[in-house]
Amino acid sequence: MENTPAVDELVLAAWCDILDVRSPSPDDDFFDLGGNSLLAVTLVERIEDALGAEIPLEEFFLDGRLASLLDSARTAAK
Amino acid sequence: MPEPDLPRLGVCHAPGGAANLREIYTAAQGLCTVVMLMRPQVAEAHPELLRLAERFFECHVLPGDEFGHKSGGGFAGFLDALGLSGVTTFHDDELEAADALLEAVRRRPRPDGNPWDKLVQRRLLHEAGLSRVVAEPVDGPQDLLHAFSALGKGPCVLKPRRAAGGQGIAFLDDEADVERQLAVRTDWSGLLLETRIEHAPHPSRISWLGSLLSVETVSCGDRRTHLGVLDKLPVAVRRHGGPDGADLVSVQGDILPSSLPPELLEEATQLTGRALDRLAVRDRVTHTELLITPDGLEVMEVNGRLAGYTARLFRLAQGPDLVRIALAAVLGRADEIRYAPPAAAAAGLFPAFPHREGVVHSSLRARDLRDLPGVSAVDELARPGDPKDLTGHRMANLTVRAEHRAALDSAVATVLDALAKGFAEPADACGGHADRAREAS
Repeated sequence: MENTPAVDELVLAAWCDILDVRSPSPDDDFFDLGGNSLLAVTLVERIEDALGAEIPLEEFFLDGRLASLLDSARTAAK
Repeated sequence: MPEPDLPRLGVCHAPGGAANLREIYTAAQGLCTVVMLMRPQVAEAHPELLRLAERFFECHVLPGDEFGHKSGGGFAGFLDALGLSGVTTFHDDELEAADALLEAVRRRPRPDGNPWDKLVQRRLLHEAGLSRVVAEPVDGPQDLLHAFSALGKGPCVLKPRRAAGGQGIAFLDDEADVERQLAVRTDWSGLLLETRIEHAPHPSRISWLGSLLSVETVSCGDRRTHLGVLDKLPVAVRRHGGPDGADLVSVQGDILPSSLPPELLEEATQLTGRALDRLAVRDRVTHTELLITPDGLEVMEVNGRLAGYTARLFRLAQGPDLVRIALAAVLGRADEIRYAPPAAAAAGLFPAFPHREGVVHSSLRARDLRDLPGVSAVDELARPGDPKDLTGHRMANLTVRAEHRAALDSAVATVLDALAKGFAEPADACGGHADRAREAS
């Protein structure tokens, strides 16, 4: 998958579903919104399964912002 | 990946501690290489946690599960191979293990007596004139009768010597309550009976604040830094509601920073410092609980680790990273402990149902709560039709943030009102007995 809007869409869908939020902002931090280590793994693995590519979980642990996850997913999808 | 030049620090880990894997991982960056240590019992019960931890840390299951006071020497060979500079923990159940391992790593004996044993604490603090509370050991029915007489047959509290979060506590008012304990309690191991202290209202007169406070302190060697004082929501007590003769005691929330007047804030930190001195606490973050009484502040207990939620509240309030500070303290890195008061304000709210029995009645959705001013996260919300005990009798578990304490108070009041309305039951709506189960701290 290389279509950026499609990648963004699946990341946003997974983010909203796991955190049960509407209208996420790029600066939202997964861990400040109630996400924990196990939920982070669930989120990243769900995106990895859809993309068929690996997203570095360590990077997401260090920077839990939606904008950073979108960047990682776009890079992984290339 | 591990950074080769950093000291290696053991962390005794278990689920439900005050810091999760992610918080520990981020806090350790550039400071130390964390080596996760798990007791066999923990690793066996939570294999998924061990697997997840192994993605981020070097992990080891300890070669034994017995960590009585001063038993760490038996692990010397195991520890030598790991090359650790220190050991710490963020979990109350792991304190004895972490202390024993630290003693073995440092080859330096600890003071006599386990300072996390509440009976030891009570005796040391009373002897030092730091607490009016008197305590007696209880390890059987006859001990309870003896202790109740010795303490004057007045209001008392029966509680485990080692437990956190109000678990296993029973409030005893009179001989009838003692008789009830004798009739229903089956487990008598490791208890204490202590005199009960009358509490006074919070000086702010905010109706939803309780009489308990906490002081978070880091001790690095002999140097102590008080990182913050937190207010609390009242502790909710349902008499006889817990297992094995215990009451059902629910802590309901923390608010940072405290709204105490400056002279009481000073008294709180001074008293905490003296209590930590008496318990010879070093090289860790502590969570000390104080009670506001008509005669001043009273030390209730000292916990030898970071409190649950506290690191998150400090983060939300733009305060220091308490997990990193805790790691730095055991490494002796005083230079890492730079105190800066939180710039904003934050609260963790987990109020209990007024009625503990039955199923949840509510039409409230997490999204409704998130739309309220200041709400930053809703971690948990009791679902309609579920038994109330499924969430530990909590209506919700959420965090609130504001730029300053006055704005936070307004946001918290709005959230508590929304929860009360959202979870109202038919008996509440017609002036029922919703508050009968609730007592102040």
